[in-house]
Amino acid sequence: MGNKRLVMLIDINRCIGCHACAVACKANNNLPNEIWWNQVLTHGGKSMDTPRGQYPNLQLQFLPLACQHCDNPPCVKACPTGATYQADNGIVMMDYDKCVGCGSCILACPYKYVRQFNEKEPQYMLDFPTGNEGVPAQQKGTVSKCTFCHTLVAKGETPACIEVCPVNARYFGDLTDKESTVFKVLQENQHLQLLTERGTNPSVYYLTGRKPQDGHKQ
Amino acid sequence: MLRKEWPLITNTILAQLAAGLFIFLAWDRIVLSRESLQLALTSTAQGLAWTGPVIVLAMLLSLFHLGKPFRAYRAMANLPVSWLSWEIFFSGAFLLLWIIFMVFESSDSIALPLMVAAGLVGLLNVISMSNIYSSTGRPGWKGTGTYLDFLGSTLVFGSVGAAFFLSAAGLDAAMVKVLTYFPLLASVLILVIELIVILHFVSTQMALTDDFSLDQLASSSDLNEALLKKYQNIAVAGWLLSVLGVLMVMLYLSGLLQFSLLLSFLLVLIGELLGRYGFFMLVGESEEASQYITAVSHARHGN
Repeated sequence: MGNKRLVMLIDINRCIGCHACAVACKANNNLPNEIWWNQVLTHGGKSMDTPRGQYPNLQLQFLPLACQHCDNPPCVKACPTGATYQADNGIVMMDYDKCVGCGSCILACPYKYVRQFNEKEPQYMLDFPTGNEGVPAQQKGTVSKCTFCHTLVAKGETPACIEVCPVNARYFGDLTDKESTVFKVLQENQHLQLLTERGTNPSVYYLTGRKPQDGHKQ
Repeated sequence: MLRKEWPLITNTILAQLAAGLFIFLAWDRIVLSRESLQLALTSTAQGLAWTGPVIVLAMLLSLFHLGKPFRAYRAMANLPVSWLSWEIFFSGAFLLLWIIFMVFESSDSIALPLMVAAGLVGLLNVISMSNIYSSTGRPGWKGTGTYLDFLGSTLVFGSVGAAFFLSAAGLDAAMVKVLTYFPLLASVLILVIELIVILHFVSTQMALTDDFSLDQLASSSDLNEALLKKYQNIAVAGWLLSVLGVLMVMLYLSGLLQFSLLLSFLLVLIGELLGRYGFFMLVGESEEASQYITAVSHARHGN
């Protein structure tokens, strides 16, 4: 891996579960009807957007989930063709032309449904492509997933889900840059990574609250 | 299940059948050749000849699992790190060694090292495919469970298959018993251990299903209670058929039962297929993501 480590921070206390990130991702990457790289899971009841518990003691939280762009990605080791690889900036990428659709990466990935299989020829509700120029076309019989909007990142922009979030719950940047917003926000906030026991060291951090400040009452 | 997994179920079962059958019949040929080279050849030739078509069928069926089967030639491109690449390599190598072995079968000096090499490669193939699933870290597959399942199937197929083919070739029942009785006993032992592991795994996972954490929500392995119960029923049903098949062979060889050993072999085959179906259920795909996709798609379609 190169010198950069691109990471995404998601403040789960700010997330209101509006699914705008999921839609922006879908539009920017020109994803077929059934494919959603970015999802907002409900940490509550059994159905989406429903709380758990009995009124008035209800609990509801949202967990935006997409590829975690692990520093130690098990999908890269599982892929038999080299279609899944890690770019110099840490982004875990897919080369659809090399993918044989064996699903090994899906099996190896510990995170829920962040990779999706194009079962059929891609179909779209719109009769024209959407999104960013240079986004590779989806192919039937291959696996696809979030790329941190690598075409936007290559132009110095941020992924589509960052821009669209109405509550500014998301941050994106290079964690090795100590002047970057992500570095500072991570320093100031309590955070967690998902399924750390799997040794993947994800590049997506979930912010769970401000760190206690010295001399301040909590 | 994740997607239609029947190609993987049949591929893994047939590859283990081919490896087990070849290893045990090769061993039997070596042992019998001390008595008579001709007897060794005639008793094992038919069974060893079957292993090639079985591995070919296994490889062909695996193509149905691929989204892009015509790109299958790329699948050994990541040999340094991918266990799937290694599995495909060993499957091909086993087939190649089998072909060469069949050509030089009657030449003992060439056939013996080829048999040893093919048996070893067949075993490495089974270990590689075990590593594919074991390394995913999924609760149902990690640790020794996958090795026990896959190597256990290889042992069961090898012992029952060898008894069937040796008998079918007309080898004296007493001689078949000498050659296969200990492998059959070992098969029963492995099957008993497998049952203990299955029941222990289900009870342990049942106790965990009430966990309510972000990690569990994000985990691709969602083994809920209903899935675990269904898995247990299928795995135990498969186990019963396999055990029954092995015990029937043992009773036959002891002269206590008279029937066609093909029946035992088929019972074991169906039992192992059922067990493997249960194994692939443990991928534990959550329905929640699918619900998400369905719900959002419906919203977008306005219905």
